[in-house]
Amino acid sequence: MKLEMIIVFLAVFGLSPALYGQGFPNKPIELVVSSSPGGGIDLIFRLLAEELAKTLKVQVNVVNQPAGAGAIAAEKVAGARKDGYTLLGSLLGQVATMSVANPKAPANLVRDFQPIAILHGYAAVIMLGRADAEFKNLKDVVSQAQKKPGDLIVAVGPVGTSLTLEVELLKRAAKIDITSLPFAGSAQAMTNLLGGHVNFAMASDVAAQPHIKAGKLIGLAVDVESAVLPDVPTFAKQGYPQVNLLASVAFLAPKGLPDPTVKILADAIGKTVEEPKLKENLKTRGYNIDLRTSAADLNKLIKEEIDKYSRFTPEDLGWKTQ
Amino acid sequence: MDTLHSLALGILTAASPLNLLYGFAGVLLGTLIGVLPGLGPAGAIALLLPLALHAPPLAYLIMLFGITYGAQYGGSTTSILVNIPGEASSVITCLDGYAMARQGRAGPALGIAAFGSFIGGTVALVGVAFLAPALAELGLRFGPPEYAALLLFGLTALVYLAHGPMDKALLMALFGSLLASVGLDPVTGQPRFTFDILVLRDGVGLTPVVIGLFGVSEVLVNLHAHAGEIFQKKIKGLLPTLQDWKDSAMPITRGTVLGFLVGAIPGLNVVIATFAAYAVEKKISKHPEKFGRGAIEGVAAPETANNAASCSGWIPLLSLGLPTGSVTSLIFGALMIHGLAPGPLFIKNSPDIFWGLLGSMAIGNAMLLILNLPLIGLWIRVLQVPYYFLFPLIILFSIIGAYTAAGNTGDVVIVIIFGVAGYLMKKFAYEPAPMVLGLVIGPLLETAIRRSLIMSKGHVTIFFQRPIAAFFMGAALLMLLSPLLTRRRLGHDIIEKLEEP
Repeated sequence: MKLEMIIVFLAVFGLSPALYGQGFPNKPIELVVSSSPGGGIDLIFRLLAEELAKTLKVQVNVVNQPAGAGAIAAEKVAGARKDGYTLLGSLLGQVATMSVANPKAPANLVRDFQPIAILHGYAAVIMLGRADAEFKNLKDVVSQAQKKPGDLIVAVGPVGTSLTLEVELLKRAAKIDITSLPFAGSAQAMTNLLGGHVNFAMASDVAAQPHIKAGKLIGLAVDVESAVLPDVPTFAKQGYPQVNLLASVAFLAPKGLPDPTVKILADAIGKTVEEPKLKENLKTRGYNIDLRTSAADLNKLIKEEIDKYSRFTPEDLGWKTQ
Repeated sequence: MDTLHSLALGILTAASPLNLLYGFAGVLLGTLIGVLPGLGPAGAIALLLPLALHAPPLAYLIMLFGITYGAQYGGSTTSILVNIPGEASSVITCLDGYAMARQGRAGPALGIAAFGSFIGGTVALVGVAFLAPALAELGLRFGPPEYAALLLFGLTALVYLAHGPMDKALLMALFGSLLASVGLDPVTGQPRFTFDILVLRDGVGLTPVVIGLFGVSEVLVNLHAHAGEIFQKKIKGLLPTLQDWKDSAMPITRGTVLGFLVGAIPGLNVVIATFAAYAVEKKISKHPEKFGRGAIEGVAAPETANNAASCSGWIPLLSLGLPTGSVTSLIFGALMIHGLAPGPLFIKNSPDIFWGLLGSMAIGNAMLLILNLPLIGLWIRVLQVPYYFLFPLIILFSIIGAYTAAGNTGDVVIVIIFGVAGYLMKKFAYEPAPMVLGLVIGPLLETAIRRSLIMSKGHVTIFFQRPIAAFFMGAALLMLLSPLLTRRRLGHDIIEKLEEP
């Protein structure tokens, strides 16, 4: 009886750390997603988590922790054990934003995280107009806005999101004044455009596609070439390369994760994305699949992301402290 | 005729064994979620999303829809039995439902809630089948100024929610709105009253406040009561009597119409439909003083309205592809997984899905009625559980519920704070319902007014130039001024109080 207990004790406390090192992963992985359940970002992580579980042969549990604009999730993962069993699934810009606005915050993208994989430019933000309005492209918008500064109204998303910040970038680049009217998200912004209460709206390409197909709305510009709306030209092509806050989603781990563990995770995510059924599914949903896992790529993307958001003040980013 | 034909076909599709099975699973799960405070349909659907890849599209969607309206059935159960709203849309049911339970009439209250839900849900369904495209277009005409005017009109309903002194009710509504201003400013994104506490950035959630204010405080208030004082032991009937039906017939009818209309306007949530339905009943009742003291109309109307509203709430999504809240966004996501992009052409391109879903809702509503009626006998026995078991359990479920709603420990703290606040409010005769209304309408009204003023560059005239906005502004003014003419009802309490020495 006593001997058995000693064996159990050894197995649990003595031997297992060695096992963890060799046999990663051998227990469920927690993927903390910093967005509310059901949104586009949550969905992509859920789809990936399910396939990832098959590849790694352990459970991958998605836990949503959207509070505090993702800061709580980021802090949780930044302070978690550096063993690869706690990962953060997040919009890269979200973590970059909080790191830029307050570099001393408990979770900093550069200081506290080890990037595992980044799905670069996973979906496009589109600027929409009404099909029955006189604006057919970005040039029309700019010339009209120059004539009547502040008169045109664009429905944008919440402060600090790319739906809002890209309009700010366009205003700066084209030196125009358009009134930004913030709404809770793509759907509300489009609803107000369809109702004729605003002149333009910023939305996700996937949500906008059916309305363009139905002939109610037209796409004026996208920030990255869209998988579902390939005909809409990018801001860059229309002369405004500064409008470039591409949305990327990232798997992040606490800094200091052993290299072999990073590699196992990165390889598994790479393999997962190539799974035909999932790939098809991601495509149907309109996701661009441009996965980066090499260390050089990841560090470059993170530096770019920080630089992009450094163009804004903490107020613009929605992270002013009281 | 075409519509009826399509609907009949939809019912047939939904009646296939597989779809029936998924539908039953959905409504059963929905009922359970409704009964549990905190965990709402959005959380449950999120958990079931991974299943989307494996289940057949229609059957899967039927299940998700079943969860949403099933939750509206279950939400009233705990409101009536223990004064904890299972869903935010059942808050108002606490007022009269719980009062009925204390008088030994939990059975009729639960019964009328189930029948009302069935009628509201089914009639609204027929409404959706015939009117969806037209109502969707109407909904689009509501821009920020129209919302502002409509909500202002809605706020005037506040005065009917109180059954105590009016000044205290107004104070509570103000406090609710103030509480709602905690968090990020919806327009500028700047933090307000957050004291650099991260969880407060998202504001004070409706769910934990409601659980604390109603459920926890009720336990605290009753701590000193002796067994037998809280509920009348004698249970008077399991089902509504003929008189109950007579009293409820018109409230159910009005609740259906009101719920259906409010639900069809994107952005107004189900909670507002229930408050509006309650206020209307109290306004036109011949005995408004009975409200809050166990009037069956006060259960029938809001419980009907929340089902009708949750049904017509699908209109913006299904006929335009515009999700209006967390649940509809989740379903939008589920449709996307199956490559069924909801949009203006959805009904035309995927008629099998659209009509199949409507058909399943017809069947599901019937299933829920059959499921819920026999449960009444079981539920009312909960009230015979000794208090020293029941009360700790209520506290336990309140805390678990608040936590599971968002997985946020901050919410548990909020439950406890508002449990104590609710206790003090009851001791000093301040009512919680107006506060909840302030909490719900406050932020919507604020954003609507501020967006309108950004649109008009600061000119207040925007509220009176647009026809729909002008109409509601006029109606609100009329409501506010009417007591000057009648001296009854609206200002009654204030006048009475002033006339007291």
